[in-house]
Amino acid sequence: MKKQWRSIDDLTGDKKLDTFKSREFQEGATELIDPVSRRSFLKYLGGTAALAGLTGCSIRKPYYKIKPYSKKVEHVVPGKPIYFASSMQINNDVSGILIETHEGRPTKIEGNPAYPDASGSSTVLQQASVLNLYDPDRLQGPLKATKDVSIQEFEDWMLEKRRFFKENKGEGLAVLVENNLSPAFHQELKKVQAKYPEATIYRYEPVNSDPQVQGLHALTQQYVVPEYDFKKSNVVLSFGEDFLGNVLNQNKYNREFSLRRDPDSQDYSLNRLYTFEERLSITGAKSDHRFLLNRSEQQQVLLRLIYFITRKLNFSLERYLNYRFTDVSIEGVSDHDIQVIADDLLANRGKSLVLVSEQFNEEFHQLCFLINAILGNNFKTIHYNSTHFSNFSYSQKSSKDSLRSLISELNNNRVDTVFIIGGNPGYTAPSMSGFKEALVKARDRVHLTFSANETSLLCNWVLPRAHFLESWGDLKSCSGVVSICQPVIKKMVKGYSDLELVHLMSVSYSSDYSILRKQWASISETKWDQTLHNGFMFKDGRSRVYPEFQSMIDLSDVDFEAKGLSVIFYPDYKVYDGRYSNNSWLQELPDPISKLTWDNAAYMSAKTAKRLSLKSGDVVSIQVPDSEGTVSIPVFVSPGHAHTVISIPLGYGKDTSNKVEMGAGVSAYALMSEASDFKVENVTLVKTGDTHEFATTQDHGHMEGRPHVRSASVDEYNKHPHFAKGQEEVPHDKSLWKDHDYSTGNQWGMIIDLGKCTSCNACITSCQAENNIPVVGKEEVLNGREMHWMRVDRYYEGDEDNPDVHTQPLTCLHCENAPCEQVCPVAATVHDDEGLNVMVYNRCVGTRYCSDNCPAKVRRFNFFDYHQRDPHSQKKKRFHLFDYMKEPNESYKKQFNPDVTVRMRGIMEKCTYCVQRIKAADQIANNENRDIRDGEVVTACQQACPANAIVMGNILDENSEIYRLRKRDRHYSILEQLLLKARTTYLAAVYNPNPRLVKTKKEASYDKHH
Amino acid sequence: MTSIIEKVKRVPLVKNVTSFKTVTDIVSHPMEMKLPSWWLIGLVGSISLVLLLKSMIAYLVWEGVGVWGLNNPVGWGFAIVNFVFWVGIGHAGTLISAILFLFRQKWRTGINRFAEAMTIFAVMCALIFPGIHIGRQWAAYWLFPLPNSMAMWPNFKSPLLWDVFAVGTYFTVSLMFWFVGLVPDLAAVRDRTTSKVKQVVYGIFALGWRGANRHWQHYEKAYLLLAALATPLVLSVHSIVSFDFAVSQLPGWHTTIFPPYFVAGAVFSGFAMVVTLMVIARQVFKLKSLVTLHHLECMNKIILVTGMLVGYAYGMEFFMAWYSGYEYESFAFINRATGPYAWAYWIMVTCNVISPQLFWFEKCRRSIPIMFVVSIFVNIGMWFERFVITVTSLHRDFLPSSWDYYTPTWVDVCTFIGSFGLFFTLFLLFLRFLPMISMNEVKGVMPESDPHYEKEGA
Repeated sequence: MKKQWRSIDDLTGDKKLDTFKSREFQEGATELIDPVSRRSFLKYLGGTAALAGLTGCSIRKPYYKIKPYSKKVEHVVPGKPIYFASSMQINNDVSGILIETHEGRPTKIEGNPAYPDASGSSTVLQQASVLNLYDPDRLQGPLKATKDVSIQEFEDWMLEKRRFFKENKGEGLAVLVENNLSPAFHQELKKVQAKYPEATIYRYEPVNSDPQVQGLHALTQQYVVPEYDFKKSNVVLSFGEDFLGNVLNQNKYNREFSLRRDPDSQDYSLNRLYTFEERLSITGAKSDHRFLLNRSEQQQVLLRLIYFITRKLNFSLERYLNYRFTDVSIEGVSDHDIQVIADDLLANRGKSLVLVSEQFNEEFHQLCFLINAILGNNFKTIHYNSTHFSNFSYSQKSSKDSLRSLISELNNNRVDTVFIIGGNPGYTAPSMSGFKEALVKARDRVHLTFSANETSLLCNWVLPRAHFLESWGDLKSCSGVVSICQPVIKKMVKGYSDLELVHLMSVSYSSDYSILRKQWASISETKWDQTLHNGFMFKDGRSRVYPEFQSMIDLSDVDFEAKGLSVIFYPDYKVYDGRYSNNSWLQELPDPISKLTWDNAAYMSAKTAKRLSLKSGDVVSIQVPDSEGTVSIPVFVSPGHAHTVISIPLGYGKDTSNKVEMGAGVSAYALMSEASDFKVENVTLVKTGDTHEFATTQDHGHMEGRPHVRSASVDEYNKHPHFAKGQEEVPHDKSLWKDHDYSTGNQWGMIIDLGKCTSCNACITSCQAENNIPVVGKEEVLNGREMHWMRVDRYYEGDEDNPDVHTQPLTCLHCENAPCEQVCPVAATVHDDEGLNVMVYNRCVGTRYCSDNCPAKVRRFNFFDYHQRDPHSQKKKRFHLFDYMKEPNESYKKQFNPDVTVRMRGIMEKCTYCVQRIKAADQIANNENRDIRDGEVVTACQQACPANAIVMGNILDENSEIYRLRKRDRHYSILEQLLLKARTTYLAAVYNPNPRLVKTKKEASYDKHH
Repeated sequence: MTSIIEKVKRVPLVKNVTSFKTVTDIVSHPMEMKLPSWWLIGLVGSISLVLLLKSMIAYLVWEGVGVWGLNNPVGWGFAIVNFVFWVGIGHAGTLISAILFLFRQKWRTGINRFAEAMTIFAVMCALIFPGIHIGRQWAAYWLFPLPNSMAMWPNFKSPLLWDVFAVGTYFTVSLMFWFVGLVPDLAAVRDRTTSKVKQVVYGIFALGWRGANRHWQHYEKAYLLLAALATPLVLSVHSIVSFDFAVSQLPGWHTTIFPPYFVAGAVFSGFAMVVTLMVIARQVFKLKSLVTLHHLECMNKIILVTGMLVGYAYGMEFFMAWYSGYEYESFAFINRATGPYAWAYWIMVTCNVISPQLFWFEKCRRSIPIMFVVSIFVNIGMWFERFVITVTSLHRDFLPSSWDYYTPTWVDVCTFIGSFGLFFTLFLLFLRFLPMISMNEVKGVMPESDPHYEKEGA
């Protein structure tokens, strides 16, 4: 055979090749050269596909069928909310509201911008009141001696009662009402009185302005309530009046006051606020000069002011005041200070305002009327409205007197049947008055109430009270605006509205609508419809009156000596006098100053606490001299208290089995006596040895010298208009990758004016209502897991006893260069092209890395499924392995905003700039083929803010409000050094301290950071 | 001219061993001896702890992450601390097998199998935590780049994702390395055993090893390659774990020193754990001839070095915090040493920096009780180091308003204890069923393996 060769080498007979040829397996042949064979590739592919199949295992499939309307409801477009105008009353404050309804469920309350003197903003209580409608603890039907009975049974009983009282002309019939500003209600009461002439009507309201009304009545012979005009007031001097807190016209005062806190405003100059306070209120926190004095000392200051002013003006007080001025020195405020304030007031005659707390004594209000008269403020910056229904005797009497006479009637066994319409006097009546003991002496006791409470326990008939969102009514505000309240949902309980029950006392049942329509029969159908549409009928100009001195101020009864340690009471910022205490949003809302949730406490200054060797959390028993009243209450040390004063907010410590309010706080009513004007003196504190754990949302109140909240005095601002800028060293921006371009389209941003913000918390509650934010409970707040998307930070600065207070609302900053986005391993938080930092809930696995990397710590993690852990949650109808046994209460669920996802546990959430509202506006604009206009997108916090401190909009739109504000000198961004490029930015606060007063107040962080 | 050449003798790596067979006998003894009762008791104890771990995890999945003590500023707590702690412990094994192998440190042969096993088990313990610490544990697989119908893809910018890869790779390579090293020994066990079942099982895992020349050739090559592959991993895995912290911008986390500092710390803790376990094992299994005091001394030296490195890092962090002039960073470190968690910081410093200083003295380095106590101290200290880094940095960051205090719950503590149960269960099984010392490698470093070896006096 001829030699065959494979290659030239082979032919030439290379030795190496011989070995190559002879080896079966070449060197290294057993080693894998081709890493992946075709077959193994296919195997991997199969494996991957099998794993990918796992992702199809959707674990939260609902299997209940949805039911469409069989017939379409008129005007209802599924998915589109409908708004109804109405109005509501809280104590003596009436406000116009817009109610957002989804498929027939009211979900949110906003202010009605069309309502006179309103701007569409709202307060905490208004925002939260929608939740009361859905309170699962509401009474569902009438109770007769704690047994469920039908409403018919009650009406039969009423029939007999009517007969009985008709015969004896109403002898033994007593009706106890709250402050009620409904004309129709009073007309019905009038009918009751006409039918039963012997019947008596009483009025009791625990938090009231009776001293003011009574004091001014004694002086002027007119029943009036003042209404302040902050827009026109250059100098405001407040003696304990928390006009930014929960008072009459809170909304209006906040807005008008904030107009005067803008140093860049074209229309208004900066005002100056002096406050004299016993406790730190949100008004005090906002003031330019704040003095800590108890109310007796404050009264002396007012007298001294009057003395200095009259001396300067050569004004003779002879006709007005019978008082011999003596030189007194008041600890905490020098004569020089008072002189300076007097000069400031004198320089602004007719443009200043002196206010006195509603709760202070009558003489104090008279002196206030006097000083305002001397300064020419009356009828300029302070107007007087006659109190409505003041021709009714029960309106003329003070609450205190009214209650006292009811008690004595009861004790004399002269009352057969008492109707208690609303309210909860069994809780709010001072314990020492003996109301509870007296009440049971009446044969029949009927109570109309939302839920079972201390009063209803003492009553043999308990009737469910209709919520204002489910009943017809009318209201006349203190400033004379008349409005109709319309229901937006059918009554959810078998009960009565106030109007219906009073009507039932005189004649047989008729619905509140027909009663109301009959009352307003004079109004044409068109006008009626128009009223309902607009939310108000007209403003009664006759309300405004011009009271004058009819007598002299008599100070002979006034005791200027404060006696020992005193305890003062004030309506809580959240649960008010207790009427909102079963509202979980409010219970969990942090107190604007102490940041306490689910509790009240005996607040005292650090000095007082040290003197009594107490610390926060110690339980003390407070004893009132000469009475049985003692209360065990934990102490909370809070700066800014006068040293002889302990303050306790009202409204807690309910003795009911309602699931929210149960166990929250201590009732301060137990310390009150009939005589006390929200104050008891000479108390003794005894340490019990117990301790209490407080759940606060902010433990650290010191800013540590960091420039987060920036402020300056107006002088510094004028000298350095850019003081807010450059307080942080900003490194060069060396990004690893090219930043996204945000120079076109809608680029959303938010700006918060710290000068305007009063830390009233309306934004937080509004956000909670809008975004289905769960309530976590005290235990979880203690664990530091509150879920509010928005928080208002509060920092103290300076003097420990009387510090400056800085507040700062904080939400997601929506950083363009967001640290949270970079670190999320599953890309669950990303940026959209409108500059929003968005959370993809479905994608989030909950590593919490984003939260760790968020410098503002505004992200909120669902450690549990809080909707399921709510004490009201109920057993679930469906079951799945990874889906839990419980679900939110059916009733609470109805409040949920259907435009916002309800988040499950294990995922992160945070402020979205109300993306659902942006998208809604976007849809409308798209349909109309135009751009979104400025002001069309309003976030929930912005909408609620009574001070108008929050503005949201397109930062690229040169005509937008936000664009203008971002150009302001005061504009700054927090944590700028981290190159966040935050979209939520701030306007630094500018204060207006009196240069002549010692450098105590708000002397700018400017000095420190430059 | 006469010169006296004195042979400088190296310290013998095995003592009192007369032949290769003796080595095999010593190492095989624990697998062949009568089941000791302490082993059974230990196993039952650790399995109960595993059950504790399982029930804690079940409770966690059922109720939510809220059963732990985490809160808003402190989003990472015990789970992440434990994760880093266990990964750190899992460092010594691969370092001993790979890096010391490449550096031809022959003393490693006495301890490498043991250390590698410890590594594998520690990483297994570590891997539990990232999986369960997330809010929706059933969606943990979303962290892997799996093609899926949800059009989801992980975010490659996130260090957590790098972590998934780093720890995953480390575990895989360590396991392979360990297994490859085991093959010749498994064959030896297979050949020695008289039990049929054992023969089959060991036989399967011995992969048909016959000790042929080619086998040895491939084995040696594979081992070398894996060592080369594992070497960068030793450095990378803890560097990347440190990126979880360093890449964020939290003061106290955002530090460039972290990668080397974490690696040093990991080696430190890993060696401490090896010493702790080895001191006991050589006593009860009579391995003193194979794991001599010299071995332990070498490890103690490494503990001293790495301990000093860690101490240097602690100091350097403070220096940088001051030198940078960055107020938040300065605060974070002052807060560490004097704030609410100062107790944790000083435990850490005492255990990690002060206690290893004893090893400057030969007496201490060679004293079994002292090294045992110090190694335990280091283990505690290193756990606290991770606690200090994770928790103290988070609990007080930029805005004082969000500051809070973190307290672990009983679930946190029980989960941590339970993870030790898993570790010891696996370890006890290893001690009983696998040769805990690499016979073939020990034999390779015995003087007898030298072709020019002459028996003394021969």
